Amino acid sequence: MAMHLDDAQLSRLEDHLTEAFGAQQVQVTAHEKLSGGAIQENWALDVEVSGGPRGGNHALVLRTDSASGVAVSHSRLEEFELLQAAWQAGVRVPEPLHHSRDYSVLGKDFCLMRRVEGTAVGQKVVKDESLAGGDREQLAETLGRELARIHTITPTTHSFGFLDLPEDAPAPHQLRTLYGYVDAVDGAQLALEWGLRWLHLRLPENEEVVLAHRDYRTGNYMVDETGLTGILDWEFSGWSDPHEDIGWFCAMCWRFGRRDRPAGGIGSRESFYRGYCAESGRVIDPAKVYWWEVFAHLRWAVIALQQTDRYLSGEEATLELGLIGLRLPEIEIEILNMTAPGQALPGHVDAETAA
Amino acid sequence: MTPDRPDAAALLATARSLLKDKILPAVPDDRRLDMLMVLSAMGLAERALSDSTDALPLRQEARLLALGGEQGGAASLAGAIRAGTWDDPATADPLYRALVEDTRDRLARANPKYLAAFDAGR
Repeated sequence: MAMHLDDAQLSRLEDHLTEAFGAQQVQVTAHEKLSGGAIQENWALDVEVSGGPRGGNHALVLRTDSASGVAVSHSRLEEFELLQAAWQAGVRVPEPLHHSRDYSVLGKDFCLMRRVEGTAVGQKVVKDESLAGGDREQLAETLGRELARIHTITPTTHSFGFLDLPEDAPAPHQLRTLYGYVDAVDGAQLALEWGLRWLHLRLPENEEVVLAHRDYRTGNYMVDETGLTGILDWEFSGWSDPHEDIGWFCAMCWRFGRRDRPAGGIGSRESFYRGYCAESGRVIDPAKVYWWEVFAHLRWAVIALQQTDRYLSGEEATLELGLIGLRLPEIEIEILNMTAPGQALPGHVDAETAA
Repeated sequence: MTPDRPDAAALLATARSLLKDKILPAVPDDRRLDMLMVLSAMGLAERALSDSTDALPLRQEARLLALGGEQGGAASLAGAIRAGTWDDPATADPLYRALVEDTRDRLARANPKYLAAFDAGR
């Protein structure tokens, strides 16, 4: 799609929304393509709704697939269902308003949600101290609470037709998947094999199964001057152990250079854990978080290898993809640093010790 | 203990075509000659790289040989790590040291700033 929706598209969209919103008329008063998102296209839409239950002016985001999707990510309908579940569970997400499979409108699926203000750019969120009222520890605690709310969605409370439960338990299931991806790319990766073996020998036991966001990190939530405005990017969500999200959020590879701030490069682990434990009443097992932090680096390494393959095969020989291959030693040095022989794992944290 | 890909010559070629195809047309006329000289120097560097021996893969090969003796090869070592053949501390320790040395060697090439931050932050 181009940088603008053409008149015919806009008019079809207006007709479609008039019906969907039970309105007399819907007018798109402004629209603009938003940056970012290799997998999706996002458009900012201002609409004026006349009549019906949604009468008034609305600032919305229209989200649809871009030309080059990733096979493992969810469709827009699936993502919409996840967003609805999160919204109903009280998670701070952009309110999901409408989903359409009517291809006559834009030629593909799309969904609409309310637009939230702020920035999601990781480097900016980490560096700009004026964001979130300047209180980063508060932001880290809030993000802990929000994650706990996501984890109230479980296979007992919800079912999603497109999400499979782990065959045995989350950690061994995810590890097998990772081995499969490593085998699918060309060439032997010794440091990654070392890391995978480390994970294999220390599989966590007594895991829980909840809805894990699976990309809960700095860069995937919106923040403005007042604080957190919305959790984004639900396309990789699935059933897993709660510690997977905690480990992903704290992993060194998502701190945007702030090695000293374990909670996503913005705050302390204590603040993040405090919010999570207070909201969920769960006990965090730091040994499990540690396992998932090592896992996080291996998962990121596999993504880097897959992107490099796309460059090498000539499928998409851009400088951006080519440079991703050179990130591999950065990821591997962190894996090795966490998995030295004889290194002990950390002990338990609950609501009391985290408070 | 295998070289990172893409190699420097391939990346340089990608960078050069980005400059030539996407940036050169947008450069103001009075800077066009500068850009053409940059492109020419990059092409020279690319050809020189392709025609020279890189010492890093040789160091990697030596590390692999030191670990595996005669029946080396990165693929067979990878399989052995996965099978648990190197789990025993007597073998895990030297393997780990070789992996760290190799990764630092590659990182010093790929992103020396990251390596410095890593060393300062530990």
